Amino acid sequence: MSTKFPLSRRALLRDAACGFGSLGLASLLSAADNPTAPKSTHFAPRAKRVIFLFMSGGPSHIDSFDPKPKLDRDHLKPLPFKMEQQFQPTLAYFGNLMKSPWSFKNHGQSGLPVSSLFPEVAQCVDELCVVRSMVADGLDHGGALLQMHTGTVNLTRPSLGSWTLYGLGTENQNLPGFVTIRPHAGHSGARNWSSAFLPGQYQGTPIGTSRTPVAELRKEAIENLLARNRTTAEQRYELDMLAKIDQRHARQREFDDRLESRIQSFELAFRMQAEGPEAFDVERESAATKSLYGLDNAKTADFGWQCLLARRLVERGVRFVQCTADDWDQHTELARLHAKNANSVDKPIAGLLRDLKSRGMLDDTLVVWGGEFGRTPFMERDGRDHNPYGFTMWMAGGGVKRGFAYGATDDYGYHAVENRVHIHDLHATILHTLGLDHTKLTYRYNGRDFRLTDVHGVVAKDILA
Amino acid sequence: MLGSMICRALFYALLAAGLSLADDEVFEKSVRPLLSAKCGACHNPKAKTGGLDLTTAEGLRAADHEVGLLKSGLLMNAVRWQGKVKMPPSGQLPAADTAALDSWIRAGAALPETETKVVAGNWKERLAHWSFQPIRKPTLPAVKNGRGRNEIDHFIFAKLEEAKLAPPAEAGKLVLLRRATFDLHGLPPTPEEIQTYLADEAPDAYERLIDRLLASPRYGERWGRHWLDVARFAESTGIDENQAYREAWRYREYVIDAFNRDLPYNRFMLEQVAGDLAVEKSDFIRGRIATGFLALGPKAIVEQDKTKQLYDVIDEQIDTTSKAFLGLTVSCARCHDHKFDPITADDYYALASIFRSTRLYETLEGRSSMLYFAPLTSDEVYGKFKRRQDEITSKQLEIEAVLEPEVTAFVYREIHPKLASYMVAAWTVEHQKMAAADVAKERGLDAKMLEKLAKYLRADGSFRPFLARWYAATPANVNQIADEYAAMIREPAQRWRGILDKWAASAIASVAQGKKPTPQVRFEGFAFSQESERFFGDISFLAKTFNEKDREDGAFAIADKDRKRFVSPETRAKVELLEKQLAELRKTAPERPFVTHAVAEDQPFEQHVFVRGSHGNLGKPVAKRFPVVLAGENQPPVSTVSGRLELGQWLGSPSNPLPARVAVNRLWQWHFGEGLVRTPDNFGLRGEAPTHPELLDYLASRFIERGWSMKDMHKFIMTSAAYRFSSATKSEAWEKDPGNRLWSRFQRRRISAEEMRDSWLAVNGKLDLKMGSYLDPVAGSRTDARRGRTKMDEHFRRTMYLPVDRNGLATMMALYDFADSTTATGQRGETYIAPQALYLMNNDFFQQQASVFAKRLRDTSEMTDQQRIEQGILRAWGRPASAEETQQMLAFLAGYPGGNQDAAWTTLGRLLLESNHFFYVD
Repeated sequence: MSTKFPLSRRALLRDAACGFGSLGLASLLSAADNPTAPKSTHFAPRAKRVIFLFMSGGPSHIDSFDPKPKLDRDHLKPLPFKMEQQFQPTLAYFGNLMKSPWSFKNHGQSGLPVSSLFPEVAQCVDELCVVRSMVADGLDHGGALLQMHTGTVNLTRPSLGSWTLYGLGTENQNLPGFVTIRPHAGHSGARNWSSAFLPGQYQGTPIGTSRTPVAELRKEAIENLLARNRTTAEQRYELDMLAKIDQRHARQREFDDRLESRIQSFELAFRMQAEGPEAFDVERESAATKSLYGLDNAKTADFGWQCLLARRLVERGVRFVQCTADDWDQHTELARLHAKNANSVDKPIAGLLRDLKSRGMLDDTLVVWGGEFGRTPFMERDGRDHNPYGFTMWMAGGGVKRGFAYGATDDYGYHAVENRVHIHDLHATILHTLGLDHTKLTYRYNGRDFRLTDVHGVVAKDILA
Repeated sequence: MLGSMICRALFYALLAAGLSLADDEVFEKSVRPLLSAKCGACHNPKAKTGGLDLTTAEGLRAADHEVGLLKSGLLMNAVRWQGKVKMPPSGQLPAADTAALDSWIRAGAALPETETKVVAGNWKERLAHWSFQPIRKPTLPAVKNGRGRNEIDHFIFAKLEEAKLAPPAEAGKLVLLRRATFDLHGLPPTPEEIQTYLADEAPDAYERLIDRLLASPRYGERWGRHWLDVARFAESTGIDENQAYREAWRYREYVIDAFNRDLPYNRFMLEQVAGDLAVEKSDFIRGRIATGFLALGPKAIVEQDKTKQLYDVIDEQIDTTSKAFLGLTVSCARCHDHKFDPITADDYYALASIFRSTRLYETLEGRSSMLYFAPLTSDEVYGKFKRRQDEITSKQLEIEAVLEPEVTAFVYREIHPKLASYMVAAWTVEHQKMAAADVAKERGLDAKMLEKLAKYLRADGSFRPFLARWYAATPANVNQIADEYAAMIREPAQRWRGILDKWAASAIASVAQGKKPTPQVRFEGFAFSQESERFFGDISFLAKTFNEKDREDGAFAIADKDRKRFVSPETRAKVELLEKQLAELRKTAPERPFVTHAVAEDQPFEQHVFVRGSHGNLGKPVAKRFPVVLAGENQPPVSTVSGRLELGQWLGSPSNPLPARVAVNRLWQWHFGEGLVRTPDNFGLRGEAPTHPELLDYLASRFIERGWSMKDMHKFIMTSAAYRFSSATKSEAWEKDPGNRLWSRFQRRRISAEEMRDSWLAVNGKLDLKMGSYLDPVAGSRTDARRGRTKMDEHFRRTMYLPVDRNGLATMMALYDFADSTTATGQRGETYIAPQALYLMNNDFFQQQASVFAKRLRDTSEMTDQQRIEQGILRAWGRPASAEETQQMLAFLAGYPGGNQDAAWTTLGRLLLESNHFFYVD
């Protein structure tokens, strides 16, 4: 957050003419006075908004969407390939190849294979565009989470959601444009939804963290959202008085737009307070909808709430919503704990896809599913280690092919070998579906034009519908 | 000379890169510079000797097309002196140059499509950039207006006159009091201070005000915090594990103290990079703490590429050091020469060499690296402490060596032969639903062990293929299968025993020789896909052996505290004696000395350039030195281990053109809201030019002349007429100077997060002015920001003492544009977002402060409501109320919905503490 707030937009434009260009001028010119107002895209968008279902910890691709018959065949045999650098450095902890405890079946008209870990999502497989050749650079969670969210494994850079908001603005000024629901607060923490050097308006708004009980969040999703101990009439009375005081203050101090901005921020807050609770209140949904997301089942209620909330938010114009399902890091007890995790997200995810489709929103909403990396084909005790060398993510909806699989890992699922998609490429592709050219979405900071994809990124054109 | 150096660097880089660069890039990075330097004198587009131009893509393409220069091997033959034509005629190219050309041609001799400017061509322009030139003290410009108060005003007034702008009026007395008090203390003036200052009509009242403010310790807190922004201060490592920097507060203390005692800035720089080497022996504690500047950056702990982890820290140190002191983005040169500034990758790795020879971790290797702590005692005292710690460790290991083999022997002798019986019993417990205790009693087994084994063997959905046969056992074959499992563990059990006994013997021998034994062997080297080894491991060891949080102890593992029960009386006596000795060692151990986060000298390290920034790709070695553009080509070699001492001295050398300029610009910016150079961390080619270059140099020279005194500079700046300008903007000034680049008015500013919170507490008389120490340690795993916030609201210390968690800033700080603690922040942002207003409307902490404020006003007895309102405005806004204001507020109270006066007053308290009057300093 190192961008100065313009003293005055007018001042800025004047200064810009004299070569003073350190402020995000392009955005100011196109977005008038409001940096989060909707903006035009570089080309026609296929998706208008993003829901990112982030599986924190790294779900196993070879147990879910990337079947490996040779792994079954060579179960418990020594590795027929060279081991890369692994997160657990003591080789003694590693065993041999380990087959998947789950079986794969082809589903839908597309016949794409999905394992028995995700029976509900399997029903929606004709909506999915499965990328089986993801590659990342981070071997530990901290770096890997940061890269998935910001493109870099160690620096402070704006998050994907912030770039999206910066590029597109948002359609509802009474709600934050970039919301992250129950994010993982460790492993790079707030940097995963930070706007870094982009102006603070593009910062992600967290709804609790993965450790905040959902019950607490259902009461108050965003901190300080609810009025304490006073009625709307009292609050209105107070804000009217505040505006009077501050307007007199501003009249005595000409040519300082910040004063008016601060006055306006209270009005916006008041509207947010009025509209927010309704947007965040999933209880207003019908019993059938709640059941579709698994809210009526203790196992699926938490993530179901996240998914349903995400739909309510994007429906109201929020540009980028992330939901996080935590604890996918199965170094041990893969079978028990992966099943537990999958059981808690499978129905909510399928519910979200079905709900978006039935509301006609799936066509222009991009749903992205995946973790920061996959897992190894060999065992680490009775689990699997981190695998950034090859893993799976899937997308669904706006702008991507349906019932389609792209890329491949080797026979054992260790390395991506065909049509590799690096996280930079994924980011470039996501921006592309939104009508943004990742090489043109830049921000000048400290004398350099920064991009989400740095100097990398190739749009995976083959997966675009 | 420089050109050829760069060329050499690139070309070594290329060699080591194994031509992994993009094709065009190979040409640009290595071939073109080489051909230009070695052949360009004759074969350039103008001279075209022999019809050849070897310096442009066009020329090369043409030559290849016409005579097959590249494809037919003509060029290679010439440079190898193999044919008639021997080039260059002045002398054969070094083998490495020839090889570089050869590999480029073999790889296809890729040329760029379009011609780009030769990089070397504008290097000279880069070197001529203003900030790299020596500081020259300018003469004062003449000004007509006589209202100037000191030399600063000559420069300011001259430009205003040039623009035909009259200098603005001086701000009123109370405005100046509030401005200066917030500026130097980050707090509002108290009603008493207002009264005193208003009553002081002496001509030097203002000067004395500045002196008073500078003398207070509040000054060091406010300005120390500015520096902490630059030093990207935080109390946790961030990145992956976000470990607490529990001693970070010592560095914060050091900074506050440095400002309060007006430590000369050149000294301040030196101590922060080399305090451990640069201070008097008697002051070594301060010196070590000062290097926290280097030590407290973002640090990875569990990155598994340990070389990368180390060089990321080094990169971060180069980045922070160069931004903070030089105003340069040197770390851009990690992968290639800087794109804009005349900083080469050689410059970068010469600095990297300094930090690489510096101790940055206690231990780097292993899954989790360990942070380095420097002791804050003499080496002698610390040595005593360390020796005793070693003795304690040795004693503990000796106990293990005596105890563990015998306990193991017991288990092998008494339990393993009964393993089949235990398994069958467990089967009975499980399938006949009998209590473990009863079965154990009936069969002469240990009840607890049986219970644990039954639990372990239960089919719970875990993926344990080696138990498949056990799960399939039937009453008919369970005995046989149990026998099989019992037989299965014999081999690994024997193997493990051999390893353990060997270690115990060597440990005891070490102790006998007075040496520290090797650490206890761990159950490693066993493959978990081997069923026998996995099963043996699962049932034999304590959970702690595996360092897995969800794991349970093995059924036959004997807890540490129970072990003595399973050994012979002699051994027990021996162990008890050893335990007594251990207790004595602990009891009489010297207290753990205080420690701090610091850096120290390490082994001298020969650093190579990393080609394209990749540590797997070594270029040529570089000597430790400072960037050539600033320190010249002929630098004396460093004589200390790391060269940090020399680095610190060079930073503060008067001939270094940047540090003084960068420092006075920062001071100016923190007083005026913007710097003379508006990119305070970037004085390079992409930074902005100073609004008043002469003034910047005047201030920098004066700063050096007067011993780098920051307090002297504050006073000089604050007693100028420019600092005392009114912040009111006239339309004429607005038209001519919209960006305030002429300093045609004082720039009004919003108070910072710290000032906001501190001021609320101050006007309530609640601010706890205790200095020093720390509040809550920032824990990496405690990750709920909401809980963090609540805790923070329980403290009434100044905000700068609240914990800064690098991975999770408290909500209030994040909302109000607190500094980004992951990178040097020369200037904070100033954003206006609705959640800031929501915070004021609904946050409990602020509600509490507002109601206390209202209550204090109402408790003032013998006052009318009007007087209470006047008092409130005076306290909150630092000035008397106008009649219109009081009338409006009285009407507000009277018209409050529902008429509840308690609620009305609380609301009034909130209004006073949230209004723009409170939030802006004119």
